[in-house]
Amino acid sequence: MTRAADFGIDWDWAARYVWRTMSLIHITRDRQPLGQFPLPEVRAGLATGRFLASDLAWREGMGEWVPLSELPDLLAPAQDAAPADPAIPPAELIPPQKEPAWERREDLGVVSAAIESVRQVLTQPTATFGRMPREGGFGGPLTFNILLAWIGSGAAMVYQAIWTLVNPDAMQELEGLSMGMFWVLMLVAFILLPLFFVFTAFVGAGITHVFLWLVGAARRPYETTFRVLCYAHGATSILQLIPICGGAVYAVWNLFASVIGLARAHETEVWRVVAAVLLSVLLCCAAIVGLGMAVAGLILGGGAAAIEAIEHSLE
Amino acid sequence: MKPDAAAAGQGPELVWLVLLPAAVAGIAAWLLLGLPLPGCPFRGTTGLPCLTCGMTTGARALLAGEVATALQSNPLAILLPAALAAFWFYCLGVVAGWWAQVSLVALPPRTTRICRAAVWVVFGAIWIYLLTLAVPT
Repeated sequence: MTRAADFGIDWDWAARYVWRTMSLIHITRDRQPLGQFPLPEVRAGLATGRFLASDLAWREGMGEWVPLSELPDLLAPAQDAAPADPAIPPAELIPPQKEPAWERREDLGVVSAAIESVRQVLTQPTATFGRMPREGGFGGPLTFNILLAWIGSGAAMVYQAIWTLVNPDAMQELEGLSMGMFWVLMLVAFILLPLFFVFTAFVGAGITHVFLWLVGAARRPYETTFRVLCYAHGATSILQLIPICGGAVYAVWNLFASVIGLARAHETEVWRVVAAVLLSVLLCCAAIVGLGMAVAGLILGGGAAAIEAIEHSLE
Repeated sequence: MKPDAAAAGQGPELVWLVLLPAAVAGIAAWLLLGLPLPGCPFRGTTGLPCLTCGMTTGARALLAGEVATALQSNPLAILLPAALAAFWFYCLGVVAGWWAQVSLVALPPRTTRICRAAVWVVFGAIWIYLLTLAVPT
């Protein structure tokens, strides 16, 4: 039973399962497929009249379809056939595949896993978060979130910079900031974005989890909330690559994917999750503002201290 | 309680142990640098204070050592740092192996109900207090 429950891969079992699947015999009658059957079942079916000797048969490794009466496996003595393996579990016990694909990045490769995960979260959030391991570490989802959010936010920053450069009103708001300094600030902000994502991932998940608990929706640990929000945010961040309306599309889709994901992962009602998310936004807007202040304060405070130290050393 | 050695250090406690002081330092730096503060979107939309309105004033007062002013601005300005400090010590204990991890979802149902109700009562009382402050006399 642990095989299905712990998502572990038993390679020996998997090899025997693949062998068994490949050895199944496909049978058709009057161009209509009857299905795939193991050899003993075909033998028994021929004896009982379920299958006819004139039915066409094919299995992996054969060049063309042949009548069942000419199937090499059936012509061979019965004792030569591979014995049924009682260790092979029925299909319903096949371990479900871990989703999103980022959970299988070591097999799929980082780029393929990231692209597939984005597709899964954007188009199949219910199924994807339903199969997401509730506990499996913080590092994987956080890395996914940082990588994709960095790409998406980087694109948003480039669009913002272009808009500022071509819009005279926006340039005036910069109050005499030189063009060189403008680009330096943009570059520094881009480099420091991952720090912001780490902060928002842990603190945002913390606030959301507390409100999920307050409305009775938290049925899994903090780690589950963290994993859902990281995958939802990372995947939807890529929507910021869309010019002009990308930011708005990202914001809406992120909320949608987060709500669906939290409801599925915590196995709770959607309305409870919606209530928790709305309450966290309505009641704790200062916490969200405080989060921005914390990161910016660290950066600016560090910068101010560094400038002061440089000036002091020059005196 | 003697913690499970296998469970110690596997959670996010180590991250919180670093993250919380960094967040406090960041907010303190922002306030001490006198940088501009964005307005409350909830108050801007509804005209009513949100649960955390007044916390910036409270944080400034707390940094200046004026606890009474901080409490008057918003009781959460005292309660939240106190709760975060307690949480930070909890994380320290878990990372150091002094005690076991505690999960909100693993609390007994009765304890969960009592804790949840207590938090809602505190939130409700603070919000009513903030609403009375906002009403012009």
